[in-house]
Amino acid sequence: MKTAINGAIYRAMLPVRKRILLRHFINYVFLGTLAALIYAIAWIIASFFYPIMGLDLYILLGAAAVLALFMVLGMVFRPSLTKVAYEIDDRGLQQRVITSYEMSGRNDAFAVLQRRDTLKRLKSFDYGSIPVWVIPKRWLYASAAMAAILIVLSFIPNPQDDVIRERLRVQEAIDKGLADIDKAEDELTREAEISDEQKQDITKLLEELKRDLKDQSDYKEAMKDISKTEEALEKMLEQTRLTQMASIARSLDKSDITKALANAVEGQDAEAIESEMERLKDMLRQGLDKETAAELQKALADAAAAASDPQLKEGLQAAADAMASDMAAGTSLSSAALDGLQEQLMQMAQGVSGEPADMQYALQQMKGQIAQAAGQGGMQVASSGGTGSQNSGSEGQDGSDRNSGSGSGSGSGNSPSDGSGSGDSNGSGSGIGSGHTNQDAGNSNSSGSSGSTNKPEGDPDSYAEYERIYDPTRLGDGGETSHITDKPSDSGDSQQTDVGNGLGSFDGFIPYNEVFGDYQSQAMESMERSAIPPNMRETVRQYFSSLVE
Amino acid sequence: MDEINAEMIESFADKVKSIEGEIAKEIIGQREIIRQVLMAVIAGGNVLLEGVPGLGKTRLVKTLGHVLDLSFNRIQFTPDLMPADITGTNIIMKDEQGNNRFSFQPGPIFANIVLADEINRATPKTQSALLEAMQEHSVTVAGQTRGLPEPYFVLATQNPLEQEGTYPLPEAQLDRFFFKLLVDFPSLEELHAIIELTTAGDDVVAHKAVDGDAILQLREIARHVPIARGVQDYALRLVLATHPEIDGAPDVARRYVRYGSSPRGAQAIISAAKVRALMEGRYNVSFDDIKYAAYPALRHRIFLNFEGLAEGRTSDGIIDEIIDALAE
Repeated sequence: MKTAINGAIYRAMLPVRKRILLRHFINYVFLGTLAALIYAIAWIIASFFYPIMGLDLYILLGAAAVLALFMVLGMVFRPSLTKVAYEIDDRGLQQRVITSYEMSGRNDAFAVLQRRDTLKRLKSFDYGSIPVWVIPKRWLYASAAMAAILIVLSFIPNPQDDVIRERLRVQEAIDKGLADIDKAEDELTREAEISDEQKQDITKLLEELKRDLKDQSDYKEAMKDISKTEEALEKMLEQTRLTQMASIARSLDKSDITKALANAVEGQDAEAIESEMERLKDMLRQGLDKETAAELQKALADAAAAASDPQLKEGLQAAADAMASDMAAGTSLSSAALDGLQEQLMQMAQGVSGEPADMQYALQQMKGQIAQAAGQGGMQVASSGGTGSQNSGSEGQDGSDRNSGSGSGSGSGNSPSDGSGSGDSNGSGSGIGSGHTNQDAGNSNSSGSSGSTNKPEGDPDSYAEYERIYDPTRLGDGGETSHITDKPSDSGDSQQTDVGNGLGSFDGFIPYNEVFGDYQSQAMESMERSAIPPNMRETVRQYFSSLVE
Repeated sequence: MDEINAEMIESFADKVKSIEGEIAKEIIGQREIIRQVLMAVIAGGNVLLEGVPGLGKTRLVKTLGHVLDLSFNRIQFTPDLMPADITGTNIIMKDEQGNNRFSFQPGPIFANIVLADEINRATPKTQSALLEAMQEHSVTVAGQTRGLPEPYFVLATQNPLEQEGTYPLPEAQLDRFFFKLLVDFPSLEELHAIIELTTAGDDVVAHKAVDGDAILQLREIARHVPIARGVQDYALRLVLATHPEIDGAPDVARRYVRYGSSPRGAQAIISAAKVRALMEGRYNVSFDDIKYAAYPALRHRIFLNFEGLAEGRTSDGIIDEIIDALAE
């Protein structure tokens, strides 16, 4: 009897329960929507103060998560049967249902009568009197207000959008740079003139750089990371060079005849090396006795064994082998064997070590691209109409027939400087490449490719924050056209009007970040070409690094 | 007493209706007062009726005794009334052999229904003679305790206007009353009916509707009415809310109440609510029953402070505000 009656009451309550549950979940969906709106507004407001990449995705996913959370909360806090019973009772059943529910275990006369009475009332209960849509007015007002705020916010231009666009460009430049680095890394592994140990160290450095640059969108940070790698690479090469020179010096020091040369090598004194080598060559030309010749040959062979740089090792060994060959043949010793060696030792003393030049060049290029990407935003025409130096690197490389060389190119171009961000660029470029040796240097002339660049018109404010500098290269080929209107008059005078924006915005002055990359690349390339002392190179590098920090 | 069965429960409302119907023959109007008196009688409580003279209080009690077929005594309380005048006393009597011996002469308190008319005119000492009878349904005289007939009720009256030479009932005495009922002046329609009944035509006499055993049976049935936990909780919170010193007490209680209701107040509310539920033909207590019973059960158990009295607050007004402030 108990089960039957309890079941009957439960069944009688079910339709009401369904309506109450539906109302409950509608309320939670509404609350969740309200919370999602607040969440979206918070993100949008935050995006006005801080650039948030993928804002739409964050908002969509977050709002969905908030809504889901509210649904889960709705599930957890769904109305119990007790609450349902009280709600029915509130609609005229005068606590009959809750009493029946609580008396489920009783079967005395009162309990039976009470259940019967409750069932009778429940059967005649109007379920439609339980409303499904009961949203408090304050919720409705709050939702309307939030929706209005969201709409208004979506129409207000977000100043951080430019920053985000810039970051995307930077990311793109970084990705491109990373691809170049990968390419250079591949070439490095095939490079025979670099020791395996050096390759490993360089690879390790590059891996670290790639890790640092992954998902990096702040161009300053990216530049810093690249500069750091550059410095480490330079330091590593310098260290290798010094170690190698010390090692060669120790080997040469064992023989009296090469003791002075050993001192010159250890002191990294290019002039002294040249002088000592000339002295040795003179001695060879004048003829050496067998013992002295054998001693010199042995000293060179020992030095070759001590050298870790494959190219230098080869040079030393070649000189020693040539002497050994002459001595075996009984012919007079030729000084020509020492010519190549002299050049190599002098270059080493001067710190002109260019084996990983591709790598250094790739890093420089990457910095330039990033700086350029960070500076774009409405001035694309000016850069597209520029010097064509972007093609110069590869042209310079074409000039070297053996080793990779670095080069620079110059080009002239015409570009409609209408400020619309689109234009055609036609240019011809010539490249001059320099290698480690005079054989490596080469020239190439190539006509520049014509291309078109279409970039979205940017916000002029995006570059306004950069200091404007005077760029003399623009005077000749990319400068502002001066329009002179000439109106004949009776007096024969003409009237001249400058339709530009005045001296302050004369296009010879442009934001420094637009040319920074070019300047840096050119400086680095020049350093590669010239015999500049390492400490001076370091100073120049630090100067450019400090500009991006 | 027989075990409660469905038939007994279902006949409860009819029985009460028949009692009400008979009383209504002699008492014009005052339906709520009659109903509340019956609720108290069935629940086994005493009633304090407060109203100006001539509203039919005494007639109501007399009619009740007649309809319920119960013995009825009336005590007119005066300042010189002594406790022994109420309880009875031992007097020297000669037996058949002519020997003198003490014999207990029961006082008017020995009846099923005792009407203590104008109870506040007697001294506190005399008033207190009723304490044991009201609570324990017994009387102790000369060290001997004597039981009072069951069912036993005290229905006291007091005049709210004439306060000179009166002795207000102390809190302990008031707490013994299950209900305090305020008898209002009849309406014009009711006055017409009263005049027509009493000054013209034949006297209408109420008939006996039930007897004492039936009243005891009704009381037993009412005790078993189920009450949901939440409803009982509401009643208890209501009583607690009358206490200004308790955390969460409503502002009105904090501001105007000196002392709140005793637990007897809660007992009275629940018992009365159960009776009301059955009178309404329901088999469970509702929030409405609790609210209905709260006024007569608490109004004499809430004592206003000086501020409350000075601002002319009433207990009923305080109860109103507490009910409004309290969530079900």
